[in-house]
Amino acid sequence: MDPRLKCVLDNKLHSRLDRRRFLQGAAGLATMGTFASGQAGFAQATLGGDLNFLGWDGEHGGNVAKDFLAQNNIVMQASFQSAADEALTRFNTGGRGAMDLLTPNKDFQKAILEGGVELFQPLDLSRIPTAAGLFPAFKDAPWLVRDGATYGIPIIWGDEPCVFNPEKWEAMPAKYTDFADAKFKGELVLLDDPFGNIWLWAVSLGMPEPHRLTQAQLDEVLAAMLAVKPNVVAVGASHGDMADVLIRGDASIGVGGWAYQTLIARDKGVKLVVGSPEVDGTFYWSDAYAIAVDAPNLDNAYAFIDFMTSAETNAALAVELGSACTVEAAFDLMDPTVRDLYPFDNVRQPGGGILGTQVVVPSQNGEGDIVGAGAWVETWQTFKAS
Amino acid sequence: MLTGFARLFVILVVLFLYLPVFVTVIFSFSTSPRLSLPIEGLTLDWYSAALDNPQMAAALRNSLILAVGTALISGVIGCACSFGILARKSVRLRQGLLAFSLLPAVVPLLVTGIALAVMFHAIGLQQGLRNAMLGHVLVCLPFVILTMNARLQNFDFSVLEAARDLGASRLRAFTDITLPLIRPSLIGACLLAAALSLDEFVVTWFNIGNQQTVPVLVWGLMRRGVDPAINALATALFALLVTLVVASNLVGKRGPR
Amino acid sequence: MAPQDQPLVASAASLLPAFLVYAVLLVIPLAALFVLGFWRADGFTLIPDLSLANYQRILTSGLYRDVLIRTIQVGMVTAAIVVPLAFALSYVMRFVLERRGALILQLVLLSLFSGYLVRIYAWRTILGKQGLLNTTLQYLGLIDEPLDFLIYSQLAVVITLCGLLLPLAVLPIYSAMLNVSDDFMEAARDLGAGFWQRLRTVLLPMVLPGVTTAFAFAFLLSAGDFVTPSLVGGMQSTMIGNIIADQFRGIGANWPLGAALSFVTIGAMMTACLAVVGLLRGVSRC
Repeated sequence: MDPRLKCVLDNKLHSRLDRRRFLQGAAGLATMGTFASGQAGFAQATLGGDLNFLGWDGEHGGNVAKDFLAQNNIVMQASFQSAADEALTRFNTGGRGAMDLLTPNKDFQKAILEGGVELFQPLDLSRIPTAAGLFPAFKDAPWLVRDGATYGIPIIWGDEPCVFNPEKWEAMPAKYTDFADAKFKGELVLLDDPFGNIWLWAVSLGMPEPHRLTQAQLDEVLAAMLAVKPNVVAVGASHGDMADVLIRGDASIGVGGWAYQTLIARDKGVKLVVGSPEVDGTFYWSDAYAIAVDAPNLDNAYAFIDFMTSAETNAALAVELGSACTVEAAFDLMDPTVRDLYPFDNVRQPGGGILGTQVVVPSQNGEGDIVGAGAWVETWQTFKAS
Repeated sequence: MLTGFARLFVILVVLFLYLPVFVTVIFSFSTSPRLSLPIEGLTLDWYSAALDNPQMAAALRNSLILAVGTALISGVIGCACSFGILARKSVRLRQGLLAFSLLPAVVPLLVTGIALAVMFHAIGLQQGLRNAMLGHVLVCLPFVILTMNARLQNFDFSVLEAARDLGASRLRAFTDITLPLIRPSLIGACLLAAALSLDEFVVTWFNIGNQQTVPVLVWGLMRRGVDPAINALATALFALLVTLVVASNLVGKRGPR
Repeated sequence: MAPQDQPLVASAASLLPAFLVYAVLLVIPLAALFVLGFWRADGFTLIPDLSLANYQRILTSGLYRDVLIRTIQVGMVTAAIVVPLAFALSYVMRFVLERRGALILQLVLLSLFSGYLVRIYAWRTILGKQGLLNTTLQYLGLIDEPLDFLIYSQLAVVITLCGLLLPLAVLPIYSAMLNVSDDFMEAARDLGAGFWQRLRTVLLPMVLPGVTTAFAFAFLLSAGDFVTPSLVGGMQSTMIGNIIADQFRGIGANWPLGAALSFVTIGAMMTACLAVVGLLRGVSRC
């Protein structure tokens, strides 16, 4: 290589490396005073520095929390996951001590807490006064509590309906197993999610406890899913990828979708609607804010969660993500076109409502004849590979 | 006749390679947010959307640092290594070393990513750009070593002897004769390393900590759909790198022959 | 073919930096992973063990065998298309375009800078049901209904991978051809050798290191890529990389099984790769 070229490149490299941002910052480490009730968060003096986020895109509040972060000199270091359970892998491979805020979904958090796995730390609810405004179902919800301590503050919730092109279909069939009909050939796109798909087909086959299956039941589910496979065009890598397939017109029905996909499509001039098979229905999910064990920026994390759980912010985030809000007072602030997509009756009762009783993800360990999550994953792999 | 045919072939291949690039560039200027036809009008909105987004700007910067750094480091180390392999007398040893040097390309990327992350953790290196860079160098090395090996096997080293017979020092012989001869391949290998680094996001994800690169960010943003701002980001990165390469070519041309 | 007079950097020391990187960043972690392959997972806990159960499970499972075979198939098919194309392109660049060849080489390599994920989505735009190709063909009246096998198919995977890997395969072959002087080729022609004969008996043996390297690049990168297939490959697209990834994720993960699966994969890929390289060497010798 020419020496001058090398020199130029070297200089470029080193100047960039020197400027590398390792914003240690003057992180406020003093203990925070208690928040005043209501709109807290803005007035506190001890915030600032980094806030490390590993979770879903959007839930880092890139838009809704922009001013809050700026006013408190908090630098949001957001990195996004592409699968719900990636946080655990990152945590166990050197991320511990450098992760603050996580956004586990309901069943993932339940599995981690039940499994006694170290990942989330118990929350000091006195530092999140706005959490008092959550819908009854989300206070001390069963999937967030272990040994009396709370490990997560729900931020949005929703269901996984079918998302389809209304020009092609008036309604979805009554059952997921009906998708095996040849008229759906070349029309379906699924989500790459072993648990959601198997659960839906287990429900469709009338299995009483769809999250607790024996190997024989799993095989039955596999056979039913394989009957549908000839009609499936693709398995979307994520909800956004699935939306892309639908928007391009490469498929017309997304199974295990997200109402947000209709908003993505609307922005691109394509009309998609939601609607689940009438008999089988679908399942519900909820994402929560949680703080990782050994989080280095605890104050920032608490202040951020408290801000995000205020009614205005919660409503804004729910609308941005086309999902349902978790704060009771946010309900009235939401755009009805988004709000009406979700059955809020389910969250007005304590105990988690349907979100509390419905379990989608199997436990990690088997139990007697009941197989563990590994067998589900293998079944899904077999479905995709055969 | 044959030449005309050959030219046509080259043009077709280049068109095939650049077809997706054209599509990316065109849709980065299209007013329609769909990544499909028809194109209704042209706009720069996607560029301002991409550059206004602090994460995209940071990702762009990190990707550039990693690409350039990986190209240089793996270029130097890999080139040296291929000379070293070539100098082994035993054919079996040479072939064994070459096969061994392929290893990082055979190990599934996810395994490399996790293994590296655990390793760095064990020796106390905090996740970040440095760890990601080391990972990229590892992943790119086989491509540099083997490319340089393809150039150097059957290389006519008698020119070097001639130079040394004329009294040139070993260093002079290397910089004045060997280096200019292998330069196209070496630059090619560095470009290859830069390109591989630019596209890598599995090893990167596990090792870069709370930072972003362009593909890591794009992969994360995909949950909420693919919009033309991502095309704008890719086009901007493409333009920056092409400029860098063309500029360094010009610098190289003006250098001493 | 080792030079008698070693060039400057040919001492064993020049191997050192690269092999230090390999040793610290790859061999040690892989050794740890190898040990992990004999452990077992109980829920989220890893239990030290010395059992061959993971390997037994892999070798007796139809799933892993089928996916591994498919992975190697995709790699072989892609390489079988990419390497001859790259050879032809390199030949033209080196012996027909001569000086301008180096410029074309850079043009070819620069196409890689357009970004991997974005390029895959561009192929969706080109090959989709309402994509550029279908629209054009319909406009020209060549087809009535859009061709639906263009996207979400093995064809789409191979097309996308070819675009990605052609530049990588061209570089080593072209580099090797730089060693073949024009005089040499002309001498062969003067001796009355036909085009194919010159190619086969004169050129190929000279550039063999480049061809085998190109094959290794194309095969290993296409077999190792699990993102392209999952984005454009439709329902026949699961690669061994996807299966391994699942073993290291959170719920349903099984690290020991994933470790064992990784070594089976490494062994199978290395064997397949070296077998073809050996075959190429043999063919060029006779």
